[in-house]
Amino acid sequence: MNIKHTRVLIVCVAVIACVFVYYAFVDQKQIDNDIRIGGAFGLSGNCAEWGEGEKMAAQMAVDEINASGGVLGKQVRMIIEDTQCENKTTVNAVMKLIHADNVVAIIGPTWGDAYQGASAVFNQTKTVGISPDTAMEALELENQPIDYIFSTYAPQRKEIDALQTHAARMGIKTVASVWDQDSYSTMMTRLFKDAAVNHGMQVVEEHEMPTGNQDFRTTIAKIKNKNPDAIFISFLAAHTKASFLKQAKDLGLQSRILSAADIQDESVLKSFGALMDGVIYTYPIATSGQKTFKEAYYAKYTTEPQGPSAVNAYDAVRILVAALASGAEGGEDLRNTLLRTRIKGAFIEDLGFNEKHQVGGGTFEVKTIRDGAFVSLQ
Amino acid sequence: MAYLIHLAIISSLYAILGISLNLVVGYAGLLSVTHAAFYGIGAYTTALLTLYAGWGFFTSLVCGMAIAGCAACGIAIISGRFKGDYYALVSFGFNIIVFSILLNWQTLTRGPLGIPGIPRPVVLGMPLVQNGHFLLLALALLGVVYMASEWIARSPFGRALKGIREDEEVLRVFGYHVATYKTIICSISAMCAAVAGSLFASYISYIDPSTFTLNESIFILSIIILGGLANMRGSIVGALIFVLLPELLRFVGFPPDIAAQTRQVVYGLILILLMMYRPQGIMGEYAL
Amino acid sequence: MDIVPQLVVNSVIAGSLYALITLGFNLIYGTTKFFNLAHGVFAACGAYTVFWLVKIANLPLNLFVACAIGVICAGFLGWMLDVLVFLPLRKRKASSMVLMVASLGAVTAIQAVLAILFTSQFQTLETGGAGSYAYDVLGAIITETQIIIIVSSVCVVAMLGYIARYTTFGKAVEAVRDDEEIARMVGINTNRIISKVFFIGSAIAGLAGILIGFDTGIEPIMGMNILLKGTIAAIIGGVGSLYGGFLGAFVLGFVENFGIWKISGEWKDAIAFIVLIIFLLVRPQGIIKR
Repeated sequence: MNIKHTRVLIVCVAVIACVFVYYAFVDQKQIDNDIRIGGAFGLSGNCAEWGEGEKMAAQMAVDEINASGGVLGKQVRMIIEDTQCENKTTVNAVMKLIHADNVVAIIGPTWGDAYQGASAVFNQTKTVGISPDTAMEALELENQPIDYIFSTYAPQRKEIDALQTHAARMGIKTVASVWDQDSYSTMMTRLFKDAAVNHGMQVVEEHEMPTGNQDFRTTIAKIKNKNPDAIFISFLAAHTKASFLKQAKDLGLQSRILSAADIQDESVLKSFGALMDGVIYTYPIATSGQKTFKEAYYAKYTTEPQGPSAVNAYDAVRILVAALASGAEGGEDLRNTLLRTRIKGAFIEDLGFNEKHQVGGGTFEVKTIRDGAFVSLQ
Repeated sequence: MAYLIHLAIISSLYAILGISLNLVVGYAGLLSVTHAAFYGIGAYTTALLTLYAGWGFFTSLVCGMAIAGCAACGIAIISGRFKGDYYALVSFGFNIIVFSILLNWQTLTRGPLGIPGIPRPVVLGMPLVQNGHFLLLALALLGVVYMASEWIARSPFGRALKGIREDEEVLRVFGYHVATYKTIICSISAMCAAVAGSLFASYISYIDPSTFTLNESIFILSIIILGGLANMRGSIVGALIFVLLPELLRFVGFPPDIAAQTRQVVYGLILILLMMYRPQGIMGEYAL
Repeated sequence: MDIVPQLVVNSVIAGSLYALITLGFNLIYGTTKFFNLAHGVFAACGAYTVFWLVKIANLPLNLFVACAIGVICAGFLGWMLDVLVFLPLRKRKASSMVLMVASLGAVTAIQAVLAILFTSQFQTLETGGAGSYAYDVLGAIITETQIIIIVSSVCVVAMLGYIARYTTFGKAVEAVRDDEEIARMVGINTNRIISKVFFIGSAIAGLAGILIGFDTGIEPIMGMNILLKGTIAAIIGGVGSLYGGFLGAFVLGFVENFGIWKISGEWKDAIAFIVLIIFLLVRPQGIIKR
């Protein structure tokens, strides 16, 4: 190693030492006049569409709360980190929020597969995490501990049950299943398949596609050939949904298309409108809260709520703050208080967590897309 | 402090990955973009063996190394005849094929659902639940990999590799069996990558195929290009920079929604500038 | 068996898209001899230019004019990348691996810039909202946009073939492709020729991106996946060969679609690479040898 290399090495070590020193100071600083919550959202990568909407909705909730006086006389500050929609980077973001920013709880992270790396951290550090879009079934199916993890998203089993009940009533017996290789889609499809037999239906065709694939023409041709009564689609990313629906329309697919609540994405509707016509799905019963949320979001950001889970993020912040308002400190105390808290939610009227840490109070209605709008069928 | 320990562990992982890739790219001159595949093989082996078969961490580590080593042998034999950018393209292909297997062989790997609940290693009867203790294990393994790699680099074997890098034909004329050398170094490199994989799996306790994509291989390649090819210390420096810089940038105050994109822009520009003005990296002695 | 006509049509559509990317890629590889990983991003650039003109700036432009502007912008950006990055590197006698890594840096940066400017949201270029008109051809359904895609790819390859055979520029490109040193000695300004080649190649990529935008939609990372497929098609067909790349693209399209028919869809990406590796093992110079 020559002199030049030594110099470079010394510079690098110095930089790293500075980072350590900086953090040492950050650790000492405790700003007590704010209540700090963390926002771990996927802002880049393939879940960015969901994460962006969640971030904006959560921030809106925080701003509203601060405008009406904050919590226990203190302002709420949400520190936002980008999980980049991947396992490792999610853990980085969550670690930073918990250890460097000392947040009392975290809203997020976005998406199931990124989530599970972080869930271990939540349980280990006894930090409450409320995800706006995670299906708790994923953890349940794995027998993983759910101590400190909550979700304000639609409980999957109930959702699928409502969908299949309606489908059975429509006389649907054979279903083809198409999904992409994302953990959420895989899980939804599995739940659908397992429960189908209870409603007299059968999944006759299964088509798994690589995530990010946009060419479904051959798959659609295969399905058309078999002509099932309905097709259940489960894709996470908007571009996959849009591609499939467009190609299905182009190729004249006759079977009904069934989907889950994540199809109710305002910004996709705006871009792809008429292509989505006819899709049948279930969603929690329209509440006045949902309408108010949409209007407030539009007033603040002059655009439709982005992603399917924006309203869930809004609710997540509000129920967290309600628990904090009753004086709970972080950790175990907060978790126990959270389990007892109930608020008037936007997503569901009576919002509270059940023993599975999912939002329990709410029924699902069947909806469809007609003339470029989400309308209820009941 | 806990956050720093976490970053130190992640840096060690990438240092191991960087050093092992450097053996192939820096010393043998083969532009390999398939490292994440071996990383993944190590991670999945440890995950499956410790969780479902109840084996110990170190046993699973050795198994992971063995499987990765064999896979690398096979891949090296097939790709041995290609040069330069064709080699890179074939290695892309292998990464994607291994990724597809991890994703689609669902009865074994559970596909996109991933494998949660991977236990921490147990050392001398004590499970390494504390991150600080895990860091010690990571550093220890990093030390072993580093010393082994340095020893290889300085040995006659290492010199022969450099010869292959500079001019393969000449070495063949002198009677060196070039293909064997390449296969051996690829296997060793893969085995070290598997070590990093095993560490990763038991640290994060959850793995899924999306960590082991082409992008990850490209990321590791960029670490060693920045740090310097054919220089092991450079790989450690490169790993530290690539792991710590984004974390530092968190505090710089970019608006969070474009922070990640801005990082990508910076990262891309760094690559371009490096290639234009210092293709041998910070501490390297060999330019691509 | 009545699924076969649809499969054939699907294969031809996919093949045409790959062909557009492959043609540009081959053109550039032929003269510069390195794998330009940034090639795909110009598809995104072309598409986003049209997106901006039609949907954001809301200029009252004829759609054809907007597309033409998009194609020219993509070409221009490709040209700029050559002049700013690749040309200086070539002057320094950089190896093809250095150029490839530099192109990797370029694509990372440009994609991120597109994401910052337009967000990562998936958008469509179509304004109608109802999808384009579909026709029934011998039992297979094909839309207007898709017909345009097929026709475009044929036109482009014909145009390139004509240029290569009958114009001086084309002959100069041939010369550079054969041997850059000698071409320079003979008096050809090789750097200018290469820059023009970048313009044309990137413009073709831009066209592909625009067509994809109408057929499905656009997002900043749209270039990467199709570039990978385009590269495979180029190698299968014979790297650097014009008609080889064209043929390789269709071979890939057919193998993929007929492959999914028999094997399930999740192996689609792996199939492409397995085909690549088989070709590299058995016939590395590709179908049409240069």
